[in-house]
Amino acid sequence: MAFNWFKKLKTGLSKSAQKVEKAFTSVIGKKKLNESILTEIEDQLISSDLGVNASVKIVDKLRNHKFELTQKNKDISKEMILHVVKDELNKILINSEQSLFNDNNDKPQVILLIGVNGSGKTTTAGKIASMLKEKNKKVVIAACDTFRAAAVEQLEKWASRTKSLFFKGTNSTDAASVAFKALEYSIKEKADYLIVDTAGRLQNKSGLMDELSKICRVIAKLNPNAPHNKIVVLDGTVGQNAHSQVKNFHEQIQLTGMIITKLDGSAKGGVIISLAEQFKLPIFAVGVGEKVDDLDIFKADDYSKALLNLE
Amino acid sequence: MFENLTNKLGNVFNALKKRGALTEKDVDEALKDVRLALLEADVSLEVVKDFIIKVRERAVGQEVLKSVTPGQQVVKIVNDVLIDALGTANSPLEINHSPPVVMLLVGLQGSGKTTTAGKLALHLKSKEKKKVMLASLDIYRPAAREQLKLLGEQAEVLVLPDSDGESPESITKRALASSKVQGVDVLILDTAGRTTLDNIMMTEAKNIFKLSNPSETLLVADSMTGQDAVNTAKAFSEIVNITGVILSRTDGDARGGAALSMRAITGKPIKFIGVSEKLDGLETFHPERAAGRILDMGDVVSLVEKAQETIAEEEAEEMMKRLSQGSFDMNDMLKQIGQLKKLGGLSGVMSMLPGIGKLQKQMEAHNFDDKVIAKQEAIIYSMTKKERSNVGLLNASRRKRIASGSGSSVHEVNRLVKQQQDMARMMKKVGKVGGMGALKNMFSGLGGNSESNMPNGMPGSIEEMQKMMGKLPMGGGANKFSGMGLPGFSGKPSKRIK
Ligand SMILES: Nc1nc2c(ncn2[C@@H]2O[C@H](COP(=O)(O)OP(=O)(O)OP(=O)(O)O)[C@@H](O)[C@H]2O)c(=O)[nH]1
Ligand SMILES: [Mg+2]
Repeated sequence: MAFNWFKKLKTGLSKSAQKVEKAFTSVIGKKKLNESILTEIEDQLISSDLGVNASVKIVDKLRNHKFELTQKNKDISKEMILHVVKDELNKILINSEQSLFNDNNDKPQVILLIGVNGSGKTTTAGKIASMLKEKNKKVVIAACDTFRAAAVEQLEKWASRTKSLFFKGTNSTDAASVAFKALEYSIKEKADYLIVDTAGRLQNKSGLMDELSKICRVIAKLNPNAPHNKIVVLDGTVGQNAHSQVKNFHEQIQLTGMIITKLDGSAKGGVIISLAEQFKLPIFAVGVGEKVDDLDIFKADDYSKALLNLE
Repeated sequence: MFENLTNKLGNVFNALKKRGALTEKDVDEALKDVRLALLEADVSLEVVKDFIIKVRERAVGQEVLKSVTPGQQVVKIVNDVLIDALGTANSPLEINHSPPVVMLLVGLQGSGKTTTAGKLALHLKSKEKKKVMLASLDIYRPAAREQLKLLGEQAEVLVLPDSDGESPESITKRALASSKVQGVDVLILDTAGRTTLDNIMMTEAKNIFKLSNPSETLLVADSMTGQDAVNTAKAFSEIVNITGVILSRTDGDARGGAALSMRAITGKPIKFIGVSEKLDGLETFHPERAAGRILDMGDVVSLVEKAQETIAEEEAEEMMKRLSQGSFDMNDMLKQIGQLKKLGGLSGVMSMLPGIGKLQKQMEAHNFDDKVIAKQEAIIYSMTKKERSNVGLLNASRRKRIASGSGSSVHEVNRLVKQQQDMARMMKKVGKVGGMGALKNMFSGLGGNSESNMPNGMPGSIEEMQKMMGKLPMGGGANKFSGMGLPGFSGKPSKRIK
């Protein structure tokens, strides 16, 4: 599935990439990167949601970068600048490349998906299940969004679409107790993975945040290592509020990673660059569409290249 | 250099505070950091740039209030421009066309359209007493239609039944037909989320728009949206005719710069904001609150406002002093008119007072309207400085000149002079009888909250009101709406005082 990811991501990001490219085009033929060009580049990075901090840092690197010029190649080419920026992005992002799956014997591996409303948790649950099914794993999907209208039905459709086992509560509005029973069920079924979908919640609602801790606590009663992965699902169109999201969710339940969705749109999701740097969290995957296989593992170089429209 | 960006704006203005005077360089320095602060609040870059130009235009040449630092003054200006840019509160929905009125909700995936559709349905049903139908055109997202159906049941409104294998276009037609048959007032169409780069889906949105001919096409956007807000706003505006924006999830802790981006790009009002996950979690938009949140410097803003009030009070006090000495001249009259205009003119003041509707109609009938006030202002402006402070100079030829200069008749000039003289006399009297306190009340009481002795029995007629005004020496009463000699009234009330 990784084959089409780069292409997809690139199409998704091409709009932003064009913009960045334009900023660099004006540089061609000049030996020095003057301040106005650097400002322009900074603006373009900011427009990709990298945030002012990260953008300024990258531009500073660019400002201090010594471009190697030869007799034949006296000008700083667009390509050269782009590679400097790409290298800088890669330096930050490379540590975030990490696989979501392992061959751990501690089964079932529990994956908890959390995030603000509408970020793409349920869809991502379905997509992860699909990835696992391709690896011939036995998967249970549990519906712990006991709040939103038709949330259970939505997930159930993903379960049947991916031929996963599906677990939902009976009349229970307590997400933690549904999660507990779901793990019991997964153990009984000897499943390899249990994917727990939760209700969307804003990170400043303490009552709802506490519910997340409770889910983790209750699951840990059955297996102290569970949930093995606690993943925040971020909307690719999000701006700097993603910092508050990751910070608060991390403080609440110690995240193990992030997934960023909707990179098939015009949004660039550049905020993950500073998030990756600040929180040292892996980026397990990126969502690039609404179909079942529109999720792919995160590759730093591919992402940076796609962002900068480099071949 | 850029640490603590959220506090950055505060730092800069602190720096300015110490410098005292605000040089042009200081302003530019400050605006550079306003730019960064806005970007941190997720206002889109191109919108930030325009905004900065606007602020500079307004800030340059503005005097700094005394007791306020230049930096604080700049914050206030930024805040004011921001409120302006965010538009007005209470933009009502267009719902009074011939039924069924169609409301189309569009937006990106996960922006909150379906929940908002349910909220709008409840709002229209309970607040506007409309018969509402919900219809989902989202045939793509699993259980999207089930979700809308459940929300419709909760709101107790009609929901168009599902039927499988139907295209969004054909559901639209069916929804319109069904609404007609069932006598529905408002049909709310919830559409599938779409990215703006998806041509097929954007074409679909266009088709639905054409078919349903909506009175309102509302773009639902997440208040946590980043820089992409401009792309979203532009792309949807190109495809459909957006009439308003609804911002979802404002109960989060995002600074919400997307509000400014959306508003700037669409040029359309933000009609509602989502404030909770529940169906009643829909509120009207308040630009001041949104501005406060984006800028996040409420303390400074209220400090400057307080200073402004103080200055207004000092002005009033100064005027009082002059009045009690019997020196109420045309300049004072002009100031009074100015105060009145600030409050939205005569009709604005009237509408602030309870139980005034009837009286207002009578006043209109008597031509006591804002036009009269404007004319009086024009007359005074046509006087020379000397004439304004001493009407004794006004002989017949001067009066003729003033009349033609202000486009009025000599008779009107005469009436105004008479009125001013009556008022001056009265003021002097009031000053003696009621003392400074009473006068002060009258002059600062306009927007104030002092012991509202708006009588239980409001005067029912002009005559009664004039009677009250005639009795007014104790101040603070019904005359609140002008600090007394209400320009626009003829000299009658003061006659009674004589
Ligand atoms: N274009 C695109 N849309 C996506 C992607 N991931 C999810 N979506 C869409 O985003 C919308 C919200 O996704 P959900 O999976 O329901 O999000 P959620 O986080 O479960 O939402 P709540 O449970 O309501 O908080 C749906 O319309 C999805 O189809 C993606 O990678 N690309
Ligand atoms: Mg969900």
